[in-house]
Amino acid sequence: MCSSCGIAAGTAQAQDHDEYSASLSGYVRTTVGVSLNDHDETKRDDKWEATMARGTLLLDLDVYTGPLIWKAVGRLDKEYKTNYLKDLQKRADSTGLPGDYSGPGGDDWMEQYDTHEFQDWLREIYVDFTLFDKVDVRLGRQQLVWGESDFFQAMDLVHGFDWRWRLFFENNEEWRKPLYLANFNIEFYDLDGALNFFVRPGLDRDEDMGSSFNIEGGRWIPHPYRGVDFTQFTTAYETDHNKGDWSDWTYGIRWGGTLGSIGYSFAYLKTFMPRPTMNPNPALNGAFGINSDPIPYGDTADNGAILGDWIYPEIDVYGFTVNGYSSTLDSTLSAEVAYVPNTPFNYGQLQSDLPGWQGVKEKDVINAMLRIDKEFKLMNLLGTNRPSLSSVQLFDTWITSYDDDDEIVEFASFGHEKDEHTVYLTFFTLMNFRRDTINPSFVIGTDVGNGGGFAIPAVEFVIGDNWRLKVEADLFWSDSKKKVCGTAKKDFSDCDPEKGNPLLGMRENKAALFDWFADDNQLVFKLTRQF
Amino acid sequence: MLNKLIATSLALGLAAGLSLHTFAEEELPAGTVISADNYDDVKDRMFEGKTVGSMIPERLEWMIRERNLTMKIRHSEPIEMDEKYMAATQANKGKVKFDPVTRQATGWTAGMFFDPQDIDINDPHAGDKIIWNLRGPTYGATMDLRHISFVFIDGEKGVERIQRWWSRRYYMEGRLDGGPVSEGDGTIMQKTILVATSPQDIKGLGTFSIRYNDPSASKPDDTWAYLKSVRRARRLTGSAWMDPIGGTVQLYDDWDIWDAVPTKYKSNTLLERRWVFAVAHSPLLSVDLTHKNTIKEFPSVAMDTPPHFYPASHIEWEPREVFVVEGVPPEGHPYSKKIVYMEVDWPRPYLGEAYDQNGKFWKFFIFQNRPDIGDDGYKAIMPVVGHVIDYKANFSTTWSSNMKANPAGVEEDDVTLKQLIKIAR
Repeated sequence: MCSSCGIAAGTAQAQDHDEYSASLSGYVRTTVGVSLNDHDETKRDDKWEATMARGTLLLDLDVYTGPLIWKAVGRLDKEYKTNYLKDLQKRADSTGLPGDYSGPGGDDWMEQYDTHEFQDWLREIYVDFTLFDKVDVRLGRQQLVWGESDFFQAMDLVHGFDWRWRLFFENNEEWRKPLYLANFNIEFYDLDGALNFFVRPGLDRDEDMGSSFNIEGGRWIPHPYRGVDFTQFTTAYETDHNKGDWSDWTYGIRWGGTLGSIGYSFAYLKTFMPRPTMNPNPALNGAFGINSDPIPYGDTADNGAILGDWIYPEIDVYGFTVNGYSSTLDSTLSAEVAYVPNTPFNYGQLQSDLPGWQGVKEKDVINAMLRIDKEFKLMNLLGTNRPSLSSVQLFDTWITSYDDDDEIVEFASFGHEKDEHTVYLTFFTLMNFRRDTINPSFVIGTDVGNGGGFAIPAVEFVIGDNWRLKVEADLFWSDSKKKVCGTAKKDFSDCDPEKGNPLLGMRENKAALFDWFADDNQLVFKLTRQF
Repeated sequence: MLNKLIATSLALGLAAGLSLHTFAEEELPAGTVISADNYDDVKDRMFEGKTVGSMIPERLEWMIRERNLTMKIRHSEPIEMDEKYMAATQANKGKVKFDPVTRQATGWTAGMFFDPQDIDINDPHAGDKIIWNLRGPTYGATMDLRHISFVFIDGEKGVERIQRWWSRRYYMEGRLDGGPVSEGDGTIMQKTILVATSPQDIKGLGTFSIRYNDPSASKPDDTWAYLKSVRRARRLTGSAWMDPIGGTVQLYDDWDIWDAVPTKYKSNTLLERRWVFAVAHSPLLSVDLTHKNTIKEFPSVAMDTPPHFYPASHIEWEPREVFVVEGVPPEGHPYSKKIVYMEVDWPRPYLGEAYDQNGKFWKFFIFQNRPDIGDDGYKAIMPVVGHVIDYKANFSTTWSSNMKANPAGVEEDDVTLKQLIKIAR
């Protein structure tokens, strides 16, 4: 150790490597998604069409230089433009308007999925060192995860996610958007806890902001908007808005520890709302069925966008987690609560083509999670080689100052009025056969209040040291399928042709989260050669 | 004429008998390789005053006869356990109390709970006392499983895959490394980190566990799993101690063949005190990283000889006197019983057997051991290769490690959940 100079290689000392050394690992992967449904937005029958054909090269480099330990993760993604994506691009291009990846004058539709900038490729690069034998420091582009919840984000809000290329049950590791952070961790052994705090000094690119929901009209924008590129008539994204300026510093502090056998944490986070919020153009009254002046949220959307600006407002999050093992239940119990005062929601104009476009209401929200994990010993019954980790989780978003007249929506442009409580119930089980070489899993989730849900049966095959094959089905069900009416609709039998804009979908107010993906059943094949 | 024939026959018979007797009495030379081919010839031969067959337990004999195990034998060599350890054992006399009703032992400080020389083989609680002695590990206060790899080996096809791990166990009590004998508030027995470093799909997958200092063993372990794929530590159930380590055929409870304190098990019975052939002087180097990703990386394992998972041909087995203890695990445990063969002078497991819930023979454990001098000069005895063989599947996960006793500079703070997360990068 180099205590005298204040920097020590705490991790280096602990590991199985020379003081100055490097190691490289990674994988080459191809992922293919095949649709099991036809989509109304395209003229072709999409059933059995490939919606994704993606190749990935990941390089994971560790370098040890005495007291400094470096990490670099590079990922190169390249997709083949399938017929399905060609159809979506064609539909997006048909407006004649320029979007981020569509419109006249270019053919960069695939850039929303491909690696096309150096910082897309260099996902992580950071250095670890220890100051004064006490403070662990990680500086650089990295991923920092707080919270306990699976599938949903309560405290895991330091980063946004790129939901554009893949949705549902992929490792968060792969779609979390890394950020430049100065991350500090101080252990207080006498108190059985550690203090973790970070600052994000605002060095990141605009595209690293918030979560990306494929509003460019690609394969994972919810129905009925496949091929509708919202970036043609909205600003995506307004990154220096007074409600959310990407160059602002954000930061967080968390105390995590144990009391006896109970684990707990308290945290405060200044971050950006992961879901983009529409700051509507006030001049829209009279257009698209809007019947009053939209109200700006903070700075007026004044940069010429037709419909308004997408922004990521800054929020404050106060969180608490607790976990422990119950001998009685032979189960692990976990809970997480995150209080987000003044959470912005779009609202109003629910009968228009642009639901939520009236403006923004701020509501105090509590996200709460309860979970029970249990290992089922299915070895004799099913022949698994070890107990099967299974988990049931309840995740509730509670709008504490809810009013029936609020007309707030989950996401601008979807007209379903959000309830006071939005509750998701999920379950997963992981099984392992033949010494973890055949690993089936099953995930299922439902929206308790609105109906609908998803089920994901999958199996992974481990073949020697190098090859991995995963096959999964992403299946959705819904209570009330919405319809796309207009020129994109193939079957008009249950549509009112007088109602709705062909590019924006019909005026409907029933579809909740899982209804948006009702026609998105798919098979996914993932073949990996690791090294 | 008849008398002459009878006399000649008697003479020949006597000579033959004398010759046979002499042959049987003749010491089998060290370096002899015992195998299926010569087992019947050597089993009655003497070695260090005992017949060879008497030092080969039934299951080991079956492995030799039926499953191609070979054993190169050597003369036994005294092994000196650290003086501090032995002195601490003597100091425990009169202080360590055993309650026959609860089977709990209290009052221990360091070394062995009970001097093995004082254990009466007829004591109904002798098995418990011997297993209590395992609480005083022979491998030092800090167990550094340097360069540990689990090699997945199919008995017919050979090496299937290699998992590389990083592991360290830190005992909070019974420490004889020159520092405090007990650290912390006395509530924790030991802390263990086990984290995968390769291949890529399991890199960063690890566990951190705390085992509490509870003579009744009723307080469950606290165990966390860190999943790099979600970059989060997740609390595991308190029964994880009896789960397999990853996809291996080894349970956490098979850590040193036997890891549980006696009261975790329903019963622990001393079956016998006997001699067995065991590997007590394994070579210094168990993992040769200059030959990484070849079978030469693991020189102490016969990966090039079917069934690919036994000790290498140059590994030598020597007579060791052992206690044989049979344990009955609690409900929910994969085994119906486990048997361990453990050195009598100090608690060093050499061999083990595990039986499934139907009572059928399932696994055999061959742990190669060797003496080691810790960085602090501590004279330890430690396992360096663990052959865990699942005979129902004809498959083994055999781990090898350049294990080190009491590595310099390692402190309690280096074996924490935070450290697991740092290492699992």
